[in-house]
Amino acid sequence: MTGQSIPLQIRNPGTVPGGNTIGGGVQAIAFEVVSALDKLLETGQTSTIDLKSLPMAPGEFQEIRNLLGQGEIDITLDLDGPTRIRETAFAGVWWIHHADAGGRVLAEHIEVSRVPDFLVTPSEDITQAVMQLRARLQGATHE
Amino acid sequence: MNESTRRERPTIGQILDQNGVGRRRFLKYCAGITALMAMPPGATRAFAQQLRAARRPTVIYMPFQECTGCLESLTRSFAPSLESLIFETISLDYNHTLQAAAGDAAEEARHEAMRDAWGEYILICDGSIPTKLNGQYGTSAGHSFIEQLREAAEGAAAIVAVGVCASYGGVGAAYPNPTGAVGISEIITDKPIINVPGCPPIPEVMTGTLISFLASGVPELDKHLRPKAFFGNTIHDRCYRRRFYDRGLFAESFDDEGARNGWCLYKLGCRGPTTYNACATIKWNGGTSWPVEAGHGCLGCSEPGFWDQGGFYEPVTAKLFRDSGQIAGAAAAGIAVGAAAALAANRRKKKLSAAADKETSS
Repeated sequence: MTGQSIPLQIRNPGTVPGGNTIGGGVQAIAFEVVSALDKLLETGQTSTIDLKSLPMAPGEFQEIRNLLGQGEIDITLDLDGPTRIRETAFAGVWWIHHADAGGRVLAEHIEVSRVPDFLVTPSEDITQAVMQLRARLQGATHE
Repeated sequence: MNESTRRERPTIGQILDQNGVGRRRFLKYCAGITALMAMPPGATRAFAQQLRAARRPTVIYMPFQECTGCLESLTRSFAPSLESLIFETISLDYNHTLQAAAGDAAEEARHEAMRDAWGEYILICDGSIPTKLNGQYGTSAGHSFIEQLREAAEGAAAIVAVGVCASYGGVGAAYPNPTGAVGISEIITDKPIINVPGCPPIPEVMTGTLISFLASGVPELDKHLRPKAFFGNTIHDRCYRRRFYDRGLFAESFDDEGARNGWCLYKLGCRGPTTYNACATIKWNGGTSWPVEAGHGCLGCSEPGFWDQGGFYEPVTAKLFRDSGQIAGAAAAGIAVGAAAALAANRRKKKLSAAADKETSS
């Protein structure tokens, strides 16, 4: 038997296997986001959903992405590969994607907060900034 | 070892600062590690602080009865990024496959590294330990693997057994186990041992375990000494095909309609229900895919004795029926367990209901 005679069919890799049996997972995540938004409004508490740890069929990930859409903010940082922080079409819902220089996804999560935690400046950096700026004002160089 | 002669080892934070690695860059790396370990993303900052405070470790990597597949896998997790910088901060003082030195020079380097960090180094082992004929099936530099392991383990802070062979004997211990191969934990019983099984283990699980150990010591382990962060769930629990199992939709062969629709591979021998590993979420080849997504069932390579658990294309329940010659019915039996339990409960309910009716009418 030659390779040519094997009746293989390539299907669209973007389609979700099983058709109508998919969708519950996407809906569950969406309800979790709604609940997290309620919590943010009522208590100020932020939430994060780790997308990498969820068992998803190949098409479901894109389904969630499409459902949440794109909002006004889209920031890309270059930190050994791109880190992209996007506000979705729903205010306070952020899609955060960390990749390495080769494009491999390191972490991907949905964060429900006013400002993504990753953008908040750490206190240690502020302390260092105070020292550096003071040193510069005094005309000295500082490591 | 005289404390005054020890080299003062810098913290990982100091090394990162010296290399100009900003805190956000490091936080991003830690976000990847905490995601791997299924830690809540909110724990990333605390984890980053712990890791920065950890001291540069000395690592001694000793291969025994092995195929080098685990080392191949481990070295492929080193992306050209911060991860490589962190691993450069690890002093990998002995690995006879990777190091340039050979013979007496290599052995002297190992002994010097051990003396220098006695009681503090991490010992990574891959491969099983042959025990028959007093360990003569495996020797190096004139010593049996058992002797070498005992000597290196004595000064180790902890031992990481990488691969299913080092963890439980693996292929070397498969029936009839001609060399009497065993895992590290059957030889060394007085040191903390972390098993990272797999054939090979997922590279990110190996590096994640080491990073986790640096940050917070020996992680929480299951009964087979595997880190729960990576081996806490079965493949089946985390499988995206699980929904088809729950609906009773199975592929019956590798080219039928069920296989093309991505249905559950249980009847084709998938060992996902009895295998604890992180393949379904971390995946392989940098998160590209994993065996079940590629259409093949899990082989169960992170479980003790996985080579001797029956044919890879028989349902996991087949071995229960082998003696009575009922392999063909094994898949149906396994799947039917749930249904049978429900049926029995229903019968009990009807019986109780009938008894209650009888009592009422009398």
